Amino acid sequence: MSKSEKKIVLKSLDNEAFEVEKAVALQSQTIWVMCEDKCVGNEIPLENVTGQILAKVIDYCKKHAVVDGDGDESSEELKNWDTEFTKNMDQSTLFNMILAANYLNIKSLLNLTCQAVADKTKTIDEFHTFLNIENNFTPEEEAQICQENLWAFDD
Amino acid sequence: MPEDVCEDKISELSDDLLLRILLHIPTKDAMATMVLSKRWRFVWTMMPKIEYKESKSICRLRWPRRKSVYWFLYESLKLHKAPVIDSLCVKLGPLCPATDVDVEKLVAKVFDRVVRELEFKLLWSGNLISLPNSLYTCDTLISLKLCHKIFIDFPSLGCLPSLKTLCLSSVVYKDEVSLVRFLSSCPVLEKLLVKRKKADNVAKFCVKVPSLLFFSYYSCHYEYTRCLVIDTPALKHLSISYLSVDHCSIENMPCLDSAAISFSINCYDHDKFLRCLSSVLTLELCFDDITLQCCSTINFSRLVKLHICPDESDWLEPLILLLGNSPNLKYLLVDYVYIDQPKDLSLSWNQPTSVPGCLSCHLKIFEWMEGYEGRVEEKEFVTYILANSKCLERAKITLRYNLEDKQNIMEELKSIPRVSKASQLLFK
Repeated sequence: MSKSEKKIVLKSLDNEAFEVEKAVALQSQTIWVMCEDKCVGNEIPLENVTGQILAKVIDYCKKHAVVDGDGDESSEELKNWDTEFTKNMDQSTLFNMILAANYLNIKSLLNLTCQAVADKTKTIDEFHTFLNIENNFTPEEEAQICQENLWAFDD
Repeated sequence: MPEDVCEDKISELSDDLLLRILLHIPTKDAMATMVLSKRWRFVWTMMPKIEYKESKSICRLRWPRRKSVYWFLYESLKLHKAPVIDSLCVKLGPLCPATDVDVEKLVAKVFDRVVRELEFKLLWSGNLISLPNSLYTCDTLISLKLCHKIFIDFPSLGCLPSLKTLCLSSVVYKDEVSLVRFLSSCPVLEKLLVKRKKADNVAKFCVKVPSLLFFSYYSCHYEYTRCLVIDTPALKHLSISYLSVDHCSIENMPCLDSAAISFSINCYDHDKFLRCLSSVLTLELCFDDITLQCCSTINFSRLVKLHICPDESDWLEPLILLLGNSPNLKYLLVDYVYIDQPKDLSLSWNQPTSVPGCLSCHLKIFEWMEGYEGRVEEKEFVTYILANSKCLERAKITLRYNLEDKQNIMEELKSIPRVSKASQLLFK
């Protein structure tokens, strides 16, 4: 394989181009299918992902392409890296990462980002504060739901 | 703070993605999301994976303290609507009042849908309960785990045509016939895990499953004499742990790739038992006196990895005989896991007359995993391995943790000549 065949260019929604190793990009099932189809050249347009998010996705794929398949120590290291990776993401970034992982079909990243949302929302109050979910029930409606579902809110 | 950070973006995700997030949240907390907003009101009812676990430690959100998890389980299942349940796990603990629980009603709630995996763990102090017949006729069930206070009375018309994994842990059987009927009603069963603790109404545990690939059997009770019969011609992986006086009989397993046999095994025919393991690629073996005698005459022609755990036996010379019968061995591991006082072990060593073929041609890794003390016989054995293993890449020796003279023993080992110049000697 020549050097150029090993590389692939990913182009974001806002026209930012990223040259990456093919092995890194192929962790995305979506890109894998596109490459198999051979209907695209060496440049793959990704219409649903911004450059800012794509850069993060590529970071993730690079890390996982290098370390995958090595013994216990590296899997531990990878886990720590994953935790650091999502630790300081705000909810908007996490939201976009979930969408990107879903669109690009990278199962492990989708899993990781969903886990990160779950980790930040341990209580109903945290759901409201971290995810900014606005409670659009009237107080009467909310009281009724709680009353009808005592089993779910029993202390 | 930029404006978009304050928006609720998560609620814009599709139901499918919201459910993916809920998968990572304990079931009780995930169900409480019904009060978040109108968008979230019914999302939880489609959760494909649910776990009801009675445990004081998992008190993340608003776990019920007074009422049993059963109430929660029953009420939530009434509203839960997902047509396919990928996984349902019910663990009822000692807090659960057995009198409240109508398991029949509960199982009926679930088994009018597609259920793929079910785990039922009953740890309460109450009576044993039987599970309704609808469970034993479910044609979508792929994995079934039944643990503790469960009475297995397998119906004569039961059939689990999709079941691939079955775990029976400390359950009680109606009789031997019920067990035989259960196993013979699972035509595609691949993995069977059995754990037996107390009297379970079965004296002869008979596993005759043509499709079985993986079988793990653990039995721990000194009071009962039991018998294990294994007739599984397709088996690839076998693991047996005994703490009781079980007798074992076994039929030929030509496809067996790996076997792990811990603790001494009582067999009517020990030699036959070990011969049935002779096709393995990897073997973990408790090396007691009877095993030692038998092993030295059996040919392990495919064996690549041998992990032996000597059990109060004079194992050095029999091991050399076993190596002689294992021409393709690449990995040799010695593990003193069963030996409390290596000092009390009586060991003997005489230089073998001929060098086992695997040492001259194949052995790459030699590891002494625990308890090396540097006794004369041990050292002679290691010297022999290092002097004859021409392809050796690595030898790793773990010294007994409380040895006083570690440095000297390491120096002594380092000075042993190694025929494979490229090999490394490591210590732990």
